[in-house]
Amino acid sequence: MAFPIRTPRVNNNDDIVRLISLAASPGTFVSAGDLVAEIETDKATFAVEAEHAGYVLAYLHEVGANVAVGSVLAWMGDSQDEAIPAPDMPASRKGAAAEPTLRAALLLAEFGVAADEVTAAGDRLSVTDVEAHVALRGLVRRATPATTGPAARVARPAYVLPGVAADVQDLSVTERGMLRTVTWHRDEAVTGYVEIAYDFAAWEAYGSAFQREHKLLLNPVLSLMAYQLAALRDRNPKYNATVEGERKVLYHPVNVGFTVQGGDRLYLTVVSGAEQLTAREFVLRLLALQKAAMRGKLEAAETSGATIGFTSMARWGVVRHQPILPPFTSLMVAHAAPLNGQAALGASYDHRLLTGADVVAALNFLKEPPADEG
Amino acid sequence: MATETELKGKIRTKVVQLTGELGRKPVVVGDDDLLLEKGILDSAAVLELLVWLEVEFDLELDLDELSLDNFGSIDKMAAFLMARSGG
Repeated sequence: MAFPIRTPRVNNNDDIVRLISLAASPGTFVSAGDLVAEIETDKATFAVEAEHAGYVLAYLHEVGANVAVGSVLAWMGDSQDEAIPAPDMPASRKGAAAEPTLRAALLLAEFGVAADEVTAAGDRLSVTDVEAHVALRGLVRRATPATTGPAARVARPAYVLPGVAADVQDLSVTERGMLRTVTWHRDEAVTGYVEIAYDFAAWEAYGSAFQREHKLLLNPVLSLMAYQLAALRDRNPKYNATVEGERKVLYHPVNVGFTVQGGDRLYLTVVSGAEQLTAREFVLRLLALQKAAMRGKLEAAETSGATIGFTSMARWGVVRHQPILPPFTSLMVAHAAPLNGQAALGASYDHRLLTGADVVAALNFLKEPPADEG
Repeated sequence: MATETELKGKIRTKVVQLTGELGRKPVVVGDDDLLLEKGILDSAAVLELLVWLEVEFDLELDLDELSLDNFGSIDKMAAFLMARSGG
């Protein structure tokens, strides 16, 4: 009797994996635990082993193919001449399309895809099958009314900031792979979060020195930390960017968003063009915005256009918080209160553009104040 | 315009309210206590206090007026407000 080896899930984010090697030829006997194939995602490589001893009858995909998690990767049997059951064969090989479920049929219509173009993992063509198919090919829902040709494939709003100068570049191969593989963040960011531990004492000392030097009433340490975001753009422009379609939008100005609690309202005030300001100018500009927020007198332009963000909940004693990523940005840094002398600096980020390592690099840069004395 | 003593009383009441909102233990605030340096209020609470002063006394504070000399303590705030009002 033939039995399948199904494509395992390597991690929670990836519905599609890539087949990178076949370890046994059809007709070969393998023991339980023997390697039969290797698959990979952008994050990990995974060995697929035989759960039971038997003969490898057939692999259903070639090396390099993208394969839906849960679908049949290979067939094995108790003997070399076992028949391979038809239902789990790819639709194209069977010569007839698997019948779609109602929801799958609706989804096919939305993308203008025929049922026989999609490989079914089971007896029926499921929503998961269709989603895997469209993600693999980077398809988007058709425009309404439906037309044909490439123009019909773009029916999404433009996810960019109006009026903010930017360079637009195609995503790199790796970035495009991430965009297409993690299907649910194709159109909008699904944020990741990382944090590092650091010693806040250096920043406290820097803020106090700056306060004395500039004769300021208020300790500007959080404003100065936010100001340091302006320098991130030159270290990696993707910190000050967003994704639109399959392009990255690298903003020219660094418009620093900074959260301010004004009464029962939370504002994201925006210091535009922070990269052109001195630290003192930034601190005073932000102070004016904070005051305006608390008085409910912010102008619309003062709460829009953020290209990067900073927030702190330290004054409420919060030691860890995962901020919401502002629209059209890729990085929002979270400052929190120290716990037992140890502080945490975290960030939410757009995983389509930035990796965890990118963000750790940013946080390591932000955790130290500038070398000057303010 | 209130007398300087009345001003100090109003400001003191507001300072105590803000310390309570910060979840801090009730404090006795001296009129000459430096609110930030003694840790009675944090920077955000001082900013709230400034905004309250603007609303309460119908004035607009310039950024260059926001100094320790003018707003470091209740005494200094009251003196500044009296001077602003010509009192």
